Amino acid sequence: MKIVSRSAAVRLDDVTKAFDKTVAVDAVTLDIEAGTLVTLLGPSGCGKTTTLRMIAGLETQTSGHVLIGGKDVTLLPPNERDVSMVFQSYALFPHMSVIENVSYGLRQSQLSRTAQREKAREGLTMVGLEGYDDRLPSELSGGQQQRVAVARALVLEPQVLLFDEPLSNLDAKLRRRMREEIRDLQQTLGLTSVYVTHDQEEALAVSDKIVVMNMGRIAQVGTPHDLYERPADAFVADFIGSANLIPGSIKKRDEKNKSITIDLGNLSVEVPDRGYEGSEIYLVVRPSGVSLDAKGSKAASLPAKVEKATYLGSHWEYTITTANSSMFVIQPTHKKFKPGARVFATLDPDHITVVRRG
Amino acid sequence: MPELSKQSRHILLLAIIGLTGAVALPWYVVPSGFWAFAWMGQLVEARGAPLFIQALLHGRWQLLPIGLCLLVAIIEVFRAGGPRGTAIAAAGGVGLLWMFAQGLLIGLRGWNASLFEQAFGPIAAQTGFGVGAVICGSALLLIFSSGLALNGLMRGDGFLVSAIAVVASCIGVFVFYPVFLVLIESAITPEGSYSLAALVARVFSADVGQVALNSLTLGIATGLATTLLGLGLALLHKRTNFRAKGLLRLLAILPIITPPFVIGLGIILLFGRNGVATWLMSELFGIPPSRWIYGFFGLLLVQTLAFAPIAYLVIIGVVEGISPSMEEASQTLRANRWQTFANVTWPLMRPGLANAFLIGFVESLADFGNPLVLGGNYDVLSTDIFFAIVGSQNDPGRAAALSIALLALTLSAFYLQRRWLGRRSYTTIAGKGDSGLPAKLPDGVRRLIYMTAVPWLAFTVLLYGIILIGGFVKSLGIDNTLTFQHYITAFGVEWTERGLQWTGRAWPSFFTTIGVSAIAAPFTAAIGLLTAYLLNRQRFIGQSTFEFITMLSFAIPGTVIGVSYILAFNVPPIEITGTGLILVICFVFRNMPVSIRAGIAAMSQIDRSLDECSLMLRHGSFATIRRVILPLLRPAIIASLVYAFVRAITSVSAVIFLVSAKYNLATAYIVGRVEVSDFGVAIAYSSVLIVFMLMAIGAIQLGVGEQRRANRGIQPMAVRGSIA
Ligand SMILES: Nc1ncnc2c1ncn2[C@@H]1O[C@H](COP(=O)(O)OP(=O)(O)O)[C@@H](O)[C@H]1O
Ligand SMILES: [Mg+2]
Repeated sequence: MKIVSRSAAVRLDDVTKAFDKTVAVDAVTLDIEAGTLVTLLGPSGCGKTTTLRMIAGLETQTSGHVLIGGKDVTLLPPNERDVSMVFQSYALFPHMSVIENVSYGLRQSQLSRTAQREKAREGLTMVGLEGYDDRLPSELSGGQQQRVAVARALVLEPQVLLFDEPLSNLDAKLRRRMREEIRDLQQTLGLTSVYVTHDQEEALAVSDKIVVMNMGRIAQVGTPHDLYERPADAFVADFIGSANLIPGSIKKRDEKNKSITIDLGNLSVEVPDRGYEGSEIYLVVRPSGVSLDAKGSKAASLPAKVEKATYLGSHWEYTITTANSSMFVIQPTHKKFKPGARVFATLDPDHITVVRRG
Repeated sequence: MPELSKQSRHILLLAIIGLTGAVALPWYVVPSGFWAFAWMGQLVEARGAPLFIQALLHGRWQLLPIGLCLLVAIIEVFRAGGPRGTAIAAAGGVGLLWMFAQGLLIGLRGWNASLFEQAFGPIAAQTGFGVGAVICGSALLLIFSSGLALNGLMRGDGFLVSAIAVVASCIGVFVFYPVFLVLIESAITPEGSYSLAALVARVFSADVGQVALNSLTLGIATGLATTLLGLGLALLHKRTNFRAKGLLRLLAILPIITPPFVIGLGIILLFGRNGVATWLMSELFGIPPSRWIYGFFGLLLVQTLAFAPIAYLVIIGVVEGISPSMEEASQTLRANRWQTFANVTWPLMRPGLANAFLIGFVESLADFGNPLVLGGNYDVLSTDIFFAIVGSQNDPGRAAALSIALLALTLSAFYLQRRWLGRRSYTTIAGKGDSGLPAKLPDGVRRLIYMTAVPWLAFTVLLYGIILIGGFVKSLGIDNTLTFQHYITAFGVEWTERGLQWTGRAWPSFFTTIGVSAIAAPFTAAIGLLTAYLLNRQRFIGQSTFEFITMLSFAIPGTVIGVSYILAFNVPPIEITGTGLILVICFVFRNMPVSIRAGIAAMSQIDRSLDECSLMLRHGSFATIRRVILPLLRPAIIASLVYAFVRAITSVSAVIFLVSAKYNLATAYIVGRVEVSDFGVAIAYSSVLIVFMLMAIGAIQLGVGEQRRANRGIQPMAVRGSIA
C-alpha cells in the first residue's frame, strides 16, 4: 500500500470570479507544471484563496476554464475532481478519530476496509504520526493536527494537492519546521502542489515558482530569484523582501554596454538595462543594498540624515531621509549612528533594480 | 443494452416506482382507508382502481398522460448517448403539472368550470388523490429534479436539486396553496363568481375593521407590556444578584409546555365571578364580583403573563450579547452608572427590544386559546375567524376576510422585523466569551425591576399553583372539598375481566395527541433541518426567494392556517379533512419554522470548511450530510424533535378547525370542556399535559446533557477555525 503520486499539470485559462460587484479574481491565466510547488502570494484579499478554491471546485468561476491533467474540469464538482486540499483550519472532523479522519476520503473508493486502514496508516507514517490512530483531533497539538490534515489529503494520491495558508495557525518555530516537512514530502513524492500564503518569506522558502497576486490579478510569475532580482513592478518589488522606491528618470541609455544612467537629482547611477520603457522609473533599493558612512563624496553618494535608529542585536535598522526621499536600511552592528546624524548613503549597483513608475 | 450511468439508474428506479404506483395502487382515496387493504379486492372497480385501469375502463382518459410521462422518462433513459436532462425534466415537470391541473379542474361533480364542460362534454367525477397518485406525483417530482441536475443545476448534484424541489413543493402545497385559497374565498361574490371588488368590500367592511382594530390595540398593548416585563426579567437575571435564577430558567420553558389557554383558565379560577381572589376581595374590601376579566384588560393581563417569558428569552440573548468590556470602557471614560446605562447599554439593546416587541405583538394577534376562554365581548380576529367557520354563521367568505386582515397585520410586523434586524433575527445571538464584569444597574432601575418583576414572578407561580391544585377540588371557589373525581372522569382506568379498560373520557384524545405528535415530530425535524441545511450551507439561484418564502411561512398565524386547510383540503384533489393525516401535516408545517431556526443556529456553529473538506474527500453532499453534518448536529436534532413534539401537543389555533370525532386532540377537548364550564376536568387535563411534557423535556435534557458532557472534548474543534 505505498502512497504514490499521480501528479498532473494544472492550467487556469482566463479565469474570472466575481462576487456580486467585487471581482475577486480577474482574468487569471496560469500554468502549473506537474510535480512542482507553486505559491500564490499576495496581500490579504487579493484573491489567492478564491483562485485556489476554483482549482478545487469549491467556487464556480464566473468565466474561464480550469484544466487538470489536460482535462477540462470546469463543470465538475469538487468530489469528482482529482484534487485534495489542506484547509487553513485543518477541518478535521471532530467526531472521528485520527485514523477515521485519514481514511475518510478512501471510503468512497473501491478499496476494502482493511486496505483503507492500511493505506491510512501508511499516510500517517509519512507524516510521522504512527500510533496516534485512535486519538480524537481535540487530543492533538496544533502541529499534529496539521500533519493529520496533510496525511488525509495525501492518501488519496491526488493529481493536485492544494494548501490554503496551512501554517497560519502555528507558532513561528513550528511554522518553519512544518514548511520544511511539507516541502520534503512534496519533493519526495513529486506532487503538484498549489500553496497559498501571504508570507513572502514562507513563499521564498518553499516554492519552485511564485505567483504574486494583487487585486485579483497576477502581478508577476517567476522563481524566487526572479522575483527578488527582477521585480516586474513597484508592487512586487515592495512585496518581496521590502524595498525603498526612489523616484528617478532615465538620463541616458548606453546601447553598447546595455546599461542606463539614472538621474536622482544630484546623483547619477548606472544600472544594467533590461529594456525599460519610458523614462520615469523607480529605483528599487533593498534595505541591505545601502551602506552608510560618516564621510563620503557628493559625487558617489547621497547625503542623508538619520531619523530613527533601532538596535536589533544582529544588526541596526535605520530610517534615513535624503533630499527627496526616505529610506529604510539595514547596517551591520559596527555602523552605529545616532538619530539626527549626517551620513552619506552609498548605493550598491549590484543590489539595485529599476521598475516602471506610473 | 448500454451500461447505464449512476444518474440514469436513479431515474429508471424512480420511473419504475412511479409506474408501480400507477399500475398497482388505487389512484383515488379509498373510503375505508389505505391500511384496511380493502382496496386490494377492488382494483378494477372505480373507487379502488389504479391509474391505468381508471383511464382505460372508467373513462378517466385525463389521467393517461401522467402515466405516459413516466414511460417517456424510461425510454429516454435508454437513449443511445444517455438521457438528455431537458427531456427528463420535461417528462417529470409536464407529468406533475398535468396531474395537478386535471385534479383542480375535475372535481366531485365533473368539470369544475362550465367553460370546459361546454368544450369537452361531461366527464366522470373524481375524488381526492390516493396512495397511487401520491407515489406517481413524488416520482415525477424527483424525475423532474434529476433532469435539472443532469442539465448541470447545482453542479449536477441530484440530491440537492431534489431536496430543494421537495421542500419548495411541500411549502407550496401545504402553506401557500391553502393561503391562496383564502384570498380566492374572500373574493367570491354572492352570485358565485369571483371579483376583486368583493374581496375589497369584505376586507374593508366596518365590521372587519372594528375587529382588526381590537386585535391591533390588544397586540400593541401586549407587545409593550411583554417587552417591558421581559426586559425587567432579563436584567434581573443578568445584571443583579437575584437569588432564584433557577426559577427564572424554569419560567423560560413554561410557555413552551403550557397549552396557550391555560393561563386564561388560571385567571378565571382567580378572578372569575366565583374566583378565589374575587371572593377574597369582596369579603375583605367589599368589592362586588364583576366580569372585568372577560374583555380587554383580562386579555391583556393573560397574554402578558403568557408571552412575557418569550420576550425574556429574546432579550436575555441581547443582554448577553452586550460585551461587558464595552460598558467597562464607558466607565473608564469617566461615565457613571446612569450615563453608561443610558449611552451604552440601552442603545445596544434597542434593536433587540424592537424584536421582542414585534414577537409579543405577533403572539398576541395569533393567540387563539385565551381569547376563546376569556374574550367576552371583546372580539379579536383569531377567534372571530373560528366562529365565522364553525358557528351558526358558517360564512367562509367572512372568515377569509378576517384571515386576510390578520395576515396583513402579522406580515407587516414581519416586514418591520426584517427591515430593522435584517438577517440577524434568524440566528440566535450567542453570548460572546468576552471577559469583564457587566456594569451595575443604576439604583433606580434596579429598584423598579425588583418592584415589578418579583411580584409578577410570584403571581405566575401562584397561577400555576392554582391550576395544579384546582384539579383536586370539587369546584374551586364554590365548593373546595378535595376530590379525585375530575381525574377519574378524565383518566380513569378499570381492571375488568376483559383486561385493562381506559374508561376515562380524556384517554382517546390523549392517545391521539401523543400518537399524532410523535408521528409529526420526526417529519418536522427532518424537513426543518433539511431546509436549514439548504439555507445555511448551499448557494443556489432563487435562494433569496426560497428563504423569503420559508420565512414568510413563519408569519402565518395558526388560525389562518386552520381556515385555509379547511378551504383547501376539504375537496379534491387533496381531500384529507377528518383524517389523522391532516393533523400530522398541519403540525409539520406549523412547527417547521422552529426546527429551521434550531437547525440554522446549530449549523452556524459548525465550521463550513468541514463540509468543503468532506466534499474534497470525494463525498457528495448526501454522504457529507450523513457522515459529517448529522453526527455533529445530534443535539440540535434531539432538540428539534422535542420541540416539535411538545409544540404539537400544546397547539390549539390551527388544529381546532381540523379535529374530528374520530381524531380529537387534547387541547381541542379541553377547550370544549371550558366552553361548557366544566373547569375541573379541563384543569385536571391541562395539569396532566404540563406534567407529562415537563417530564418528557426533562428526560431528554438529561440525555442530551450526558452526551454533551461525554463529547465535551470535541466541541471546540467544530467551532474553531471559523474565525480565520
Ligand atoms: N463568498 C464571498 N462573497 C463575497 N466576497 C468574497 C467572498 N469570498 C471572497 N470574497 C472577496 O473576494 C476578495 C478575494 O478574497 P480571497 O480570495 O479570500 O482573498 P485572499 O485569500 O487573497 O486573502 C476579497 O475582496 C473578498 O472580500
Ligand atoms: Mg485567504
